[in-house]
Formats: sequence, C-alpha cells, structure tokens
Amino acid sequence: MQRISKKILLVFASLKLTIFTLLGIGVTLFTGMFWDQTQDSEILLKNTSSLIVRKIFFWLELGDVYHSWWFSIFIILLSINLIACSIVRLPKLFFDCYYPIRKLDNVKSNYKTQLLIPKVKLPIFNKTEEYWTENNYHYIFFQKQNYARCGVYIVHTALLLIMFGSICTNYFGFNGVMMIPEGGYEQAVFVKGSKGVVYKHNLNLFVFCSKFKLKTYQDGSPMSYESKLSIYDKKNSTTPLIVKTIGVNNPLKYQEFTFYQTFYKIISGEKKLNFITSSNTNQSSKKFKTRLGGTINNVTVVNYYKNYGGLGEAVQLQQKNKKFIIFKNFPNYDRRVRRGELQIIFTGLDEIYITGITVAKVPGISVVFSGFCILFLGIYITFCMNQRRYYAKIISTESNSYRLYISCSSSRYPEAFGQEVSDIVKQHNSI
Amino acid sequence: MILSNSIILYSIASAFYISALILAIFNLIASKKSQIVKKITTTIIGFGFIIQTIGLTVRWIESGYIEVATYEQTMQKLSGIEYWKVFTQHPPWSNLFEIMVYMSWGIIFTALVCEIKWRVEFLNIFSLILTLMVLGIAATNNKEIKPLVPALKSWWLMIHVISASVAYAAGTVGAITSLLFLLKTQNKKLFKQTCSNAMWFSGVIFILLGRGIDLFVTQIYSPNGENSPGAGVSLIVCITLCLISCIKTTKLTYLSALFSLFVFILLIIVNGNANIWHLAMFSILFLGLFFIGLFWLFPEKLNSIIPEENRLEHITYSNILTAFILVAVVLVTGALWAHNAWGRYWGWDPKETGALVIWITYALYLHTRTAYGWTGEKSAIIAIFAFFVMLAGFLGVNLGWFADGLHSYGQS
Repeated sequence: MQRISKKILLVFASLKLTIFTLLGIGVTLFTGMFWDQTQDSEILLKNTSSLIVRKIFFWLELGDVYHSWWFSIFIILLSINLIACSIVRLPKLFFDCYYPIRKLDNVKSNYKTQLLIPKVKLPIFNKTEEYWTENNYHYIFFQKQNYARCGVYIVHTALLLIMFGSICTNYFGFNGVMMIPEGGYEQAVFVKGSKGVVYKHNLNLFVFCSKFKLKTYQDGSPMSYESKLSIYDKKNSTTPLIVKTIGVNNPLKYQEFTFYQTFYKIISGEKKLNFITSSNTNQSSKKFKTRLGGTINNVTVVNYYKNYGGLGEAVQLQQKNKKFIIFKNFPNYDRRVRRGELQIIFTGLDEIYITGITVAKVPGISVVFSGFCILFLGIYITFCMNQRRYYAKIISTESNSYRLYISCSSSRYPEAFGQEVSDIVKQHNSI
Repeated sequence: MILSNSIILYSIASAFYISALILAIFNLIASKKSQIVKKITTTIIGFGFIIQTIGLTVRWIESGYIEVATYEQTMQKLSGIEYWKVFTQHPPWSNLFEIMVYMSWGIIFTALVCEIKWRVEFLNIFSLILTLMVLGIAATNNKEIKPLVPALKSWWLMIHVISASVAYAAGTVGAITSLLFLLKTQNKKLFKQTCSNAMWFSGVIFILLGRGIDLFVTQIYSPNGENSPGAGVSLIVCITLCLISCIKTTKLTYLSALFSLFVFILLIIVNGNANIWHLAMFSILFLGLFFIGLFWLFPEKLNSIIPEENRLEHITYSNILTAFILVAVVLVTGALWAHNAWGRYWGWDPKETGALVIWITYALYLHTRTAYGWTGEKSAIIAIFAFFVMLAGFLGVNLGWFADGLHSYGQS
C-alpha cells in the first residue's frame, strides 16, 4: 500500500507531468485567443447549424475556454504537481542545507585539484571558513549563499499563492458594470456570471453621480473623463458616506468595493438646452436649462435643429400658438427681429451622459499581490544567487612540504564558478 | 519644424545600420577576415544606437510639448511639478509606429550587449536585418504624435513597455543564436531535420496568415479585400511543398518552396495591395528559410565562421533567462496596472494571454533544460519555437489573428 501511494506521489511530482500540463495550458491559452471569450456562445454559434458541433462546443465550453472544466483540470494538475514536487524534493534539500557534508573525502564535486606547495597560507577560501583536524589531516569547509537552491520552490510557492488568490477572486468576488446617468443614482450592478449569464447584483448602497465631466481634445477624442460620486446608505439620506471624483486610473474605494471609471455614453435623444432670457422692462438676465418640451416663462421648446437652413444650430419655440426660431450663432436675432417682451438667447446644448463604472470586489487581491512579491524574490534567489561550496584538505608530507587538495561545487553557472576556482588555485600555487 | 526632428534622427540611425550591415556582410564574404573592419562595424552600430536613443529622447520631448499644448488649450496654464507631470507623461512608445521603433531599439541594444560581452559574429547581421525590417514596417504607419488616450495616462506605461521591449528583444536574440547553434552542429541529418521543421512551422504560419482553407478553395489571397493575381496560386504551391516536407524534405522541394515564396512576395509587392503585416511575416520566414537553406547547401564553408557551440548555447541561455524574467515583470506590472485602471488584475485579454503563453514557453525551455538536461539541439529548437510564439503573442492582435482586445489602441 505504501509503495503504491509513493508511486502515485512520484507520478504527480514527475517532470513529465509538468511538461504535459504546461504544454496543455499553453495550447489552451493559445486557442482561446482566437475568438472573443467574453462574447455570448449563441452569437459565436450563429453560423453553425450542425447539432454535433454545437454539442461539442457546449460540452467543451468553448465559448469561455478559460473557465471551462477541462482548463480547470489542467490548473489543478499543475497545482498538485507543484505541491507534490515540493513534498518529494524539499526535505532532502533542507537536510542538505542544514547538514552539509563537510569532509572533502565524502563529496562529489565538479572541480578537483591537488597542489604540492612548500607553505600553506590560511585562510584558504575565506576568513569565516571552518577548520578542523582529524587523524593528522586538516580539513577546511566553506559555503556561500547556502539557501540559493530553495529559490525554485519560492517561485513555485508564489505561483500557488497567485493561483489560490485568483480562485478566491473567482468564487467570492465579482466584477460588474454600473451605469449611472448624470444627476441620477443606481444601486444595481450587472455581473456576467458563468456561461455568459448576466445577473443583477444589489449593492445595498446608493451611488449618486452628481457631475460628469468630459474633456476632449480639439479633434473631439476624449482627453479625460471624471465622475463625481457620492455613496449613500439610504435613498433619502442627506449625508453621504463618501464623496470622490473618480477618473481613469483613479478609482474610489469603499468597504470591500472599488469603483472604477471605465467608459461613458451619451443618452441619445435626451439633451439639455441652455437659454438666457432677459425682459425689456428690466435689464436682469437669467440662465435656464431645459429639455425638449420644457417651458421657460410660458415659452415651450418645440424642436431642435442641428443646422437650420445653413445657419447653424437653432431651436424652435412656441408662445401661445405662435411658433418662432432662434439661432445659436446670432444671439441678437430674437431682440431685433421678433421684438417680443421677452428676449431669448440660445447658447447651445449639453449632452446628457451616462457614466459607466466598473464595480469590483476582489477578495484575493492581497494574496495575489504578495504572490507577485514572493515571485520576484524567488526569481532573484534562483537566478542571481548561486550555492557554492568549497572543500580543502591539507596533508603534511615528509619532505617539509604540504599537499593541498581543493574541491569545489556550485549549483549554477559552472563557467563563471570555474574561473573563480582557478583564481583561488593560482593564488595558492604562487606562494 | 520641431515635429520631424525625431523622424530625421531615426532615418540617420537607419542609414548607419544599413552601412554597418553592408560592411558586416562584406567582411563575412571576404576570404580574409579583418578584425579592424569588425570593430568599425560595431562602432557604426554603436553610433546608430546612440542616434536612435537621442531620437527617442527628442520624440519624448516633442510629445511632451504636444501634451502641454493640448492641455493648456482646454485647461489652465501649468507650472512647476504639474508641468513636468504632463510634459513627461507621454513616452515614445504609445502607438504602433513608436512601439516598432522602440522594439528595433531593443533588438540593437541586446545585440550590442551580446556583441560586447561575447563577441559573436553573425549575430550582428541577423539583428541588423530584423531591426531594419522592423523600422521599415514602422515607417508605413502613421507617424503623427497624438495626445494620449486617458487609459494610457499612467506611470505603469513606462515600466510595462520598457520591460516588454527588452524581453522580446532578448527572446529574439536568443532565437537567432539558437538558429546559429543548430547550423553549427555539423550534422547533415540535423540540417535536413531543421529544414523540414522550419518548413513545417512555416506551413502552419502560411495557413494562419493566408487563412488556409479559404485560400485553397478560392485560390485568392486577399488580406486587404483585393485580389493579387497569381499570388494565391504561388502561396498554395509554397504551402503544399512545405506540407510535403513533413514527410520528406529534399533539396528540390526546399528550393522550389523557397522560390515560390519569393515569387509570392514579389507579386504582392508588385500588386501593391499587400497587408504590411503579412508582408513582414512572410519576409521574416523567407529570410529564415533562405539562411537555413544556405547552410544546407554549403555546410562546410559557412560552418567555419560561426562561433563555437558552447558560447552560442551560453548566450542563448542568458538571453532566454533575461526574457523569462522580464516577461514576468511585464505580466506583473500589467496586472497591477489593470487592477488600478479596470478593477481586475487578469481579464483574459488576447494580448495578456499571449504574454502568459510566451512566459510558459520560456518556462518550458528552462524546465526541460535543468530537469531533463535538454541542452544543445533540443533546447535550441524550443528557443526558436518560442520566437514564433512570441511573434504570435506580441503581434497576433495587431495582425488580426485573434479577437480584438483592450490592447488594440496600440494600433495607429
């Protein structure tokens, strides 16, 4: 029984499995890139009527490859592989790090040499080297960056952490879209769940967008856009819990939710028209904002023209069955031509925007980010450090000279290490 | 006019690269190799590199002025730290033209480092050809500096793109040295194998680019919606020959495939309706196949010039390792940026996924090497394969192979 379990463990720890899963994951990722994974399956299948293709498509969940059952199997296999590999190899490695073989006679190493020299200069390798005598032989042992070989396992731990964090995010978090019209509020988030089903998630918070500001370049492309958000816990509450103006790359955090400015839309058909009115009797003027069909001082706004008879933007108004037109480009037109009691100037229109906000709850984020830090630590230890061990043995010969045996080993970069060792040997040979 | 300064500098740098390439090729062909000419070549490349670096800086300054000007048109006057914040927010790698120029800079940088550190012949030639090709493709794009879109206004842009450029350049150089390694191993059977592998890969890529089945049915190659007469047929011949080479590669199939590919490239250039990306990919493939073919046809002659296997192997390993580490940086910085901007650190965006595939491929290279001891030929093949994965992952979105993603604002 024990033998079988050991065999299974070895299978899961084997490198063949690693290569297999890495290849599998690579190929899956690559195929998934060919079609839009966020698209609804039915839209992807609209040209296919074959029943078998549809069945295979749905069975393999090809509409969302990255969340399919078989991709999960690959990920689980990789995790098991990483864990099993550590279980099999780490104890040996730790044992070797804690209790290294210190005696030259017992080690296998890459570099071996012996010198016959008249005088031995101590230290051979470094001041901190160990020195002891046994059976009239003198032994020396020294090591550098002893734990460098554990770096690989640190990288693997980091990968496991990242995977664990992303599983937490997948199961306990959500990422949805909230659309708030300027001056309105919203409490529901639309979240795309598994198999492309969109559902409504209630936040139990009222998010109010008091202002949306869009700045554009001269050619009309957006320069920046921001929304001023206030969050209330009750609909009629007067004091907001938090107020912040958010922009792209500048989110708002409240409780476990984060609000990101992601997009905006213009509400088609709904525009705010700006007017300035002044009466003949007194000089004071007033600013008005209204929608189509609204009234200002008994004057109804009937129509809006983008270009009226080649004269630019214009608005048709109605006062007691009498219709008339005013132009944006000619502000004095109404005063000079109609000569009514009330002069109206049309100053242009504001589009009404809907601000698109991504609301995310990412519970595993700290795990993932610590995974990133550990990943780089691990990469640094693995590739920039090198476990090096130096052994020496000194035997005094009868002819008043010494025989010095040197033996060294390194876990990485043998060429550079060979150079280092030959320098040491030269140093002792020249004495 | 200040706007064109950086482009003039890029052109001067290209002129330097072209002259260095000519010198390097002459030195290669010459029966007596001159060390002085070699040094001069390296110096010329160095000068070109410095000029290109100055060009990048000038471009940054130009973009800075444009950013400040557009900001001040709509907003208030800037001063102090705010001014510098707006001035420096637009690095010279924010659209496709700039990215291509920057990538070519990365390739030259990596090649120069390898040249100074390890003194490898040939590497120069390959990297210069690639650089010139990249610069050439870049020149067909829109060179205008446009103010940044809101999503790119972040300091993550700097580190994210810098590491991507150097990572992919290192991967490219690693692929070149492993190609040289494969050619160096004086094994005729292996030459043949390499050729058939290369043709096999090429066949797959042709099919991907030419939208294979459509092509075979209609015999029309029309990536831009226009038919190039004859191009479709020559591409079909080429694909067929490549696929035949899966079973048996002979000099005849090889040469005729090469010839039909050449005819195809000529035809799409003459017809003038080539998709520039396809043209670039086909040219890279053609050059690669051409070089491999040269070694197959004249093994002894060219073999004496290539550096020793150990050195090539070492350079490949160092480059791929650098690429591996830097792709990790790209992935992590991308994740952090995405978390900050879109609320999720990973969204399976095609380019994101592409970078992950590249990372996994490099991880495969490292794992097979350390654990199986797959040094030499096998690891060289993986490194070359990784180059194609890199091309697909990095340019695939722009080539239109994959679904559009969030990175497509890189397009001009």
